[in-house]
Amino acid sequence: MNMPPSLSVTVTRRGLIRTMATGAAGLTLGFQFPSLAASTASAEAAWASAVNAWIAFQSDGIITIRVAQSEMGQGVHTALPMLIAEELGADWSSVRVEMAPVDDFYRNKLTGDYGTHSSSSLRGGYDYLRRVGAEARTLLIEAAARAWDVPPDECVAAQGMVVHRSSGRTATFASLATQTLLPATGMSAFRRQAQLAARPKARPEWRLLGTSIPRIDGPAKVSGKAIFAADFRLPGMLFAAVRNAPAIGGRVEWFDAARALAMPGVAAAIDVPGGVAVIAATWWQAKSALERMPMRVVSTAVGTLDADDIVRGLRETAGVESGAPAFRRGDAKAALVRAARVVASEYSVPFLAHATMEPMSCAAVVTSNGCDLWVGTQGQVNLRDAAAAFTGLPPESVRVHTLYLGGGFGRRYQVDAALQAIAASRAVGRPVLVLWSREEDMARDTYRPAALVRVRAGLDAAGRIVAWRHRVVGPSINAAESPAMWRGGVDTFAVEGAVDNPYRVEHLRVDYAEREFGVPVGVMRGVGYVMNVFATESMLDELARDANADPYHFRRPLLDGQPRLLRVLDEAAAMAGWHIPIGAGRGRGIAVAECYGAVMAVVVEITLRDRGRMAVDRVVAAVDCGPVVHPAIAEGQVEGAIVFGLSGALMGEVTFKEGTAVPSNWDDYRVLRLGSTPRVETRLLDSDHPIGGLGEIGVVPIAPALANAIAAATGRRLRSLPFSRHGIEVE
Amino acid sequence: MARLIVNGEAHDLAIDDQTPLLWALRDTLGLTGTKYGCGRGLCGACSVHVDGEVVWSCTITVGAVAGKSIVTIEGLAVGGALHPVQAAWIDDSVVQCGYCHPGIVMAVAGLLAKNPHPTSGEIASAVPNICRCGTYPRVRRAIEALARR
Repeated sequence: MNMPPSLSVTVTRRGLIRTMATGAAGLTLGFQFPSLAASTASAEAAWASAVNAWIAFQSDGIITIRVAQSEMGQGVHTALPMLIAEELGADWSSVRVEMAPVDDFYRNKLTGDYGTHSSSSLRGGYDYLRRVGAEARTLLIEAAARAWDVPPDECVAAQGMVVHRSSGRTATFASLATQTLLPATGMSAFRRQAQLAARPKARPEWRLLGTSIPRIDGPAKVSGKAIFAADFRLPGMLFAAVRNAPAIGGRVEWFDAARALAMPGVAAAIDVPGGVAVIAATWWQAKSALERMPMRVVSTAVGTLDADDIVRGLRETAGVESGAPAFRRGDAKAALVRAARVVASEYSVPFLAHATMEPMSCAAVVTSNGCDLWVGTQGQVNLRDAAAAFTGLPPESVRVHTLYLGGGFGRRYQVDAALQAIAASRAVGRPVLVLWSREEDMARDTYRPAALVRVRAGLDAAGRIVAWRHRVVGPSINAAESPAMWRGGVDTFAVEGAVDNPYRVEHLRVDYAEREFGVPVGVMRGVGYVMNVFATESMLDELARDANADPYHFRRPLLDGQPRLLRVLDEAAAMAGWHIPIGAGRGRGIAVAECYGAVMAVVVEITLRDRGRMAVDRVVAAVDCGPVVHPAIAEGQVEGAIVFGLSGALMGEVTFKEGTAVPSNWDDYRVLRLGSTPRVETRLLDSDHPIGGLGEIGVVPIAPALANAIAAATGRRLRSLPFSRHGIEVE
Repeated sequence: MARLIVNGEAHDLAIDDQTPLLWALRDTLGLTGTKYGCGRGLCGACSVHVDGEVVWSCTITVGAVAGKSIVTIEGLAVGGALHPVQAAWIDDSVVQCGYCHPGIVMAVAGLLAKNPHPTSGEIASAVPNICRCGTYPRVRRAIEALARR
């Protein structure tokens, strides 16, 4: 899920955003914007400024650490500040966290974006934020050493204090910050004199990192105090309910605003981008009036786009287009001709809705001097620039205040509800909160694209896989939202997991052909890896069974030269007790995945029941994401992504009728609930590999592992998702 | 006009008594801890307690709960002391995005009040709430740990 960095560069300077932090009382060393200083000053001064940009010390001992990634459940508001706090030697109980302002300085070091996607938060922050913390520690130690006239290397920083080891003298961070740290550039001469190199701690020195301290957002989230955009309130705020035009195309052609205005509490009924909004004193009044307001909605799409229509359309394109080349190694075409045997299979996945628990939402205040947005967004710069373009305001007059996200999964990179909130606030001249109903949220998503994957594997006379041709057909996310990423007719998202096929195959060829259905598409957790790894890992299993080989042992030699994958594969097999027969009426499936810098293997165990019913009993997962910052959060990401992937694999599907999505709520867009959730055992294999992202990888291998388990138990190979379409239900 | 007793406090609300309790809590009383997730009694994000029973507040009108004792997530901690479910949730880092968790916490608190040692089947039927982040494995482990106390 990589997004292009925004090309628009604007330095915004404004007051601190304090939606999630304590007030500024007692601030002794405030946040300073480093953008201007960093460009001109020495490297040391730049580092000192960077320290000031991320850390503020208050006289009462509170240390506020900024984060520039949105908290959508993945734990970054805990894990990222831990990186700084560890290096600083802060007492964690004195740490507070707040969102950094939307300034270029705070762009993610990996993606170049101020946004939260692509499993990039820790990958972009791990090295950098530890260096920020180490630099701050060095500055504090130097300040104390100078005051005490002792060598800095006789001092240590821990629990919010600098301690001179031999004399036992101590000074709090707050007192040192007051005395010496301002101005930051004043330190650089002393630093050169002291010649200390700020370097992050070696892992054996970690005290905080690698521990499962309670999440920082836990207390607010279990007491109802956490503020999501749907909960944000301002004096005089009005509430808007929205009816959107059909997803595939069409518009709200006419509505009877006068009738709405006659209903209780209603202030306005207006056109907004993509639909119509009724604005009222309460959201319930707005929703009730919207439902009763006469309107005419026209759709440009007619008839149905059901599961068969979608697969038929994808096959039609596959039949006439070989596709654009996405990857070539050797000559797979020729090798397939020469092969002793060719095994061919076709896999497909449906459109999916993100279905975040909090429907789309945004609060807006638009005045002549600017636009303020309170929103759970995954793309602050993207939203700022879209709002600027929409309003005609300069980008620096658009202020994005990030609140907690009630689920993101890629959906909250979109700006649709925010633009509606802006339009609504502008129309009524008051703060307006737009909240979509569940029905609107499902009806107007940027859906995970459906896709068809055809794999042809060529085997030599000895049964070795010598050629692999992987063709993907489906709608393009690049075409929809990131045209700059199109590469020679190849959608970069659609071939993820195919172009980086980890198996040792001499001749590999990947092609992509676009097929649109008019359905708006966008990134969703796991993006292209989900469908391509479903195809690859299913095919590996088919080939193993074809060769009468054990699927685990069949994979091992093919992963020769991939020690990380081999390690998680072996670990997962050992955890599952792969060598122990599982018994009649049960099945076990295995699959591996590599994405976003992490690797993972899962084993799924199922038990068959009557009439197509089955229980998913157990999932074991072995994961190598490099160093583990917070084991409980990391495990939670793996477990949660497995559940997310199981929902999609078992029962997730969006089809369309008259241009509108058929599912409208949780009764016809079913997702896994606790009772059907398997036991999940996660093992995080600590390693010294560069840190990998964990937000998405768990979604990826679970569908093929489950398909492989079903095949093992029943002999039936299910090549299209969801499995509910094949009469399989979980109990 | 409806009289609601919420977290021990009586409120006379000048609203249509057909208003769902959820929206009276959120829009009129400003108690936004109770979440909207479906509006049709399908997801449990709006769970509250009415006279000690777990109720999905999007499915019941203020008229129907007038005069009854309503407890929302904001009222679960009594006298500043966290409810044991809240404390367990914090200690075990159970939440992720956290949008559904006020509802789940209310469901679990309601379950354990009546049945301190539930079986896995009883847990499954008492907590049908939807969590899209997929925190179910941690939720289940946390409930099992509470049930062992």
